[in-house]
Amino acid sequence: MKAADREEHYLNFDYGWKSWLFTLDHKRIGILYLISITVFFVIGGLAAAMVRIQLLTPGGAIMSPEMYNRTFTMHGVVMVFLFLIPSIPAVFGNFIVPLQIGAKDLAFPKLNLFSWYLYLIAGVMILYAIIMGGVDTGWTFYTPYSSIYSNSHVIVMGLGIFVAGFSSIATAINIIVTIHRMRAPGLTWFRLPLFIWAQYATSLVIILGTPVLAITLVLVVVERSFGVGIFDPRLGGDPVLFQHMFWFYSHPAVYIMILPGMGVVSELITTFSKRRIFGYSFIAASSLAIAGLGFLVWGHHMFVTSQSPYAGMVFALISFLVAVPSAVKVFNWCATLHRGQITFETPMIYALGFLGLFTIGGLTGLFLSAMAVDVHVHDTYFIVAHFHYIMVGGMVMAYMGALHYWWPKMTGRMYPRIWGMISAGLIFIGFNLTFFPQFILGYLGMPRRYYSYPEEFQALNVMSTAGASILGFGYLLPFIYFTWSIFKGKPAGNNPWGATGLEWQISSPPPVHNFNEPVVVTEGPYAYKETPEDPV
Amino acid sequence: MDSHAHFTVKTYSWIFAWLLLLLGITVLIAHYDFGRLNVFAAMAIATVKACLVVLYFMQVKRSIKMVQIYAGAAVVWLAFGVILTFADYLTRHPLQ
Amino acid sequence: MSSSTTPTAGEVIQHGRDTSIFGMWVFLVTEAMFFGGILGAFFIYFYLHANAFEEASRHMDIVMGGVNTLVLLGSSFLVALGVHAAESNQGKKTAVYFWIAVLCAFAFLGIKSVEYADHIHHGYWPGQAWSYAGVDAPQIRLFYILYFVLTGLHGLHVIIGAVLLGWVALKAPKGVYNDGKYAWVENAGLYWHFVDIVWIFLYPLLYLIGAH
Repeated sequence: MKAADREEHYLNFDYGWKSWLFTLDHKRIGILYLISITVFFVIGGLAAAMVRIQLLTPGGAIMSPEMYNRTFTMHGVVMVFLFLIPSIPAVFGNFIVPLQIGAKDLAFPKLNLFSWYLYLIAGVMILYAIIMGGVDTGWTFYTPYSSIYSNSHVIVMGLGIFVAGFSSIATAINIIVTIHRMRAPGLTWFRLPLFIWAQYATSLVIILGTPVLAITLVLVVVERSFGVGIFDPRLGGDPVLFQHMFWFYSHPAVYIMILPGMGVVSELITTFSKRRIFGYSFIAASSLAIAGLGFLVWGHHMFVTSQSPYAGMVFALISFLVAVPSAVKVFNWCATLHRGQITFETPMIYALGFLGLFTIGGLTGLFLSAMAVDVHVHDTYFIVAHFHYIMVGGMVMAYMGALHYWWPKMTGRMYPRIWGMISAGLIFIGFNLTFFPQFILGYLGMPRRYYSYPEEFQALNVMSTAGASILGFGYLLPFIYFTWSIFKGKPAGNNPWGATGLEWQISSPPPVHNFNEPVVVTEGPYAYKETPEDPV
Repeated sequence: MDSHAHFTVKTYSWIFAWLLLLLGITVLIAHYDFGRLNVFAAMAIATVKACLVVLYFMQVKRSIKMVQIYAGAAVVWLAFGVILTFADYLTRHPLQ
Repeated sequence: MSSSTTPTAGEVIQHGRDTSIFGMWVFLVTEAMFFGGILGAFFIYFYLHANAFEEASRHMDIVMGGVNTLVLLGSSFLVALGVHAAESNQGKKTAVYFWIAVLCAFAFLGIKSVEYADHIHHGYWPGQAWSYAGVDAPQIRLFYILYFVLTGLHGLHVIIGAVLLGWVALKAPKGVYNDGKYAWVENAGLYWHFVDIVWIFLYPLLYLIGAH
């Protein structure tokens, strides 16, 4: 292939703030998202730090109960809506999807830039709500507290989340249409990298679920603004209907948060074991199955409400079923690793960490799907530990893996290998120390969202806070070495990992229009040279 | 969208006529008491009208397959939400 | 593009048009789920409080609602004709049909405003000024909250749709939508038809459930 123009690429072909703030280049928009979601990750992380410090002592160390409620709400809202939901789709979906399918940009570049501005507006609105005193309802905004009784900035925060939903939808529309309509010649659906399948499934969930959250928030805002009662029992309204509508989105939302991570893991495991993925079509189908089934299980968040136990049984049964496609993926990843030529680069460490931690999180989810168990551990730290194992142990590790994998492609620089590995190790250790004790705490009965706790729980809480400090330090290191790498990192070259995939055929950083020559695809993904032991 | 296969003005006019007729039937049926059936009938007729608008005015009948699938998916997903939520409310037995 | 099967100019335009229309449909799916969410809530509450909702519906003006339904159905018909005109390079005709549809939008909103004023005058605005005190007043108030939110959101979409139609109508006579490049005419039309479909469901639910 013709040597790419090494002088000019998407970062240096134009300078100045206007070339960034008015860019239509999906790669630059991915970088803009990377910077903004990192800011919100730090804010959400600071809120988490405050929560963990508060819980160092049984009586509560630093905050009043009201302040504590606002702090954990801030942590949840910022982490869910401003970090996890956009994370991989908005950063790597934007940057990598066109590259992996051989396109020169997404289908609707202006819509893409618009989605980033919507995200910023949402972020500003939510920050404003926080600075003005925050919200104390929890990120779940349950009625009638949020709609009638809470004396906090529910309206602004609700509208901010509404705007963030639009940003999410705009990204999803772009990704769906791009994958359908802009694949390079020869790139049939079953030759697509699994990252693309995952992004597609995620975008489907966003399209079908987010609007329901939007209308739910509108109803709460209307109820507060006009003093009318849609979820008010005195008017014949049902607060549990809010929960039905809220969780109709928010359960699929957790799949929005994890599916992209699973897509990344498929990329990392194949690259760093130099093997074709085991069971490609099963993994692709599982992504769609998770997206579909994930819409039918929301009632498992409501087992302890007045929801009928018969409906609960249906939701419980389908919740068991939705675990199956996830398990299929885990087995297939393990089978891919088997007899692979494994190298322990930083992205691989994150992928392996994901495998173990997501499995634990997923299994504990199965425990919770059983109504009889959930009744006892609902609203305890068992739930908190369960979802953090999936969201942080799973998704954030996948995000860090993606960042460490594609950083050389995005910046053209390598980061120092040893620091990457140290940081990954600290994150793994710190994470487990933070959250494993919380399974025990929850099982022993410590409720969540309480600013204090009985004395006998202190040892485990201190352990958890200690782990959080290590985790925080582990997250801090990449800021330092990634920044260092931009100035002093070794040039990466086109393909530092020796990976397959169209994104590795072009220069790092990529040219402005991605491919200087037309792309034609003639083989499937992960076409690593087969070893004699390879059974396929 | 094949430029040789547009719907004709005649087709659109027929659809419009059907829409008006179905509106009239809806209003007519509403004046009789069929109990619970009234709202089901009204919704069924509304669904037929919506299908006519979708298939003809919105040209889904002639659209690429993906458009047809997505239009169908919206209906199916709404059905999921409404049906499962009703599964709760229909099986509650509050203490009287 | 690969060198073995280079598409024609017409195929490129068609591909681009189908892509743009597909994107609008994906967006309309989100709109359907948005309205579907609150319609679902309405169904649930109608199931729980059927008598009160039917009584509340009797206070609606079936005729005004019916006229509005006719207006929207008619405007949808005109928009379909307008799109048809654009498909055959008759931009000026498209503009005429679309401008009339915009007028229909104004008519719809005008009638809606009269209805709203009427409700408020009778004390049915469910805020502080609520003054209906008959049987089932709380549940009737719930009906009115849903009524105002449903029709309010629908009205907002009527405005957006009218703006889209007007924007296309301004550009259509200049010929920019000729030769197959009519994706945005189609997209504006799709949005308008969606607005029509929402009302097709709203009219019987809000106006006719108490008619028997």
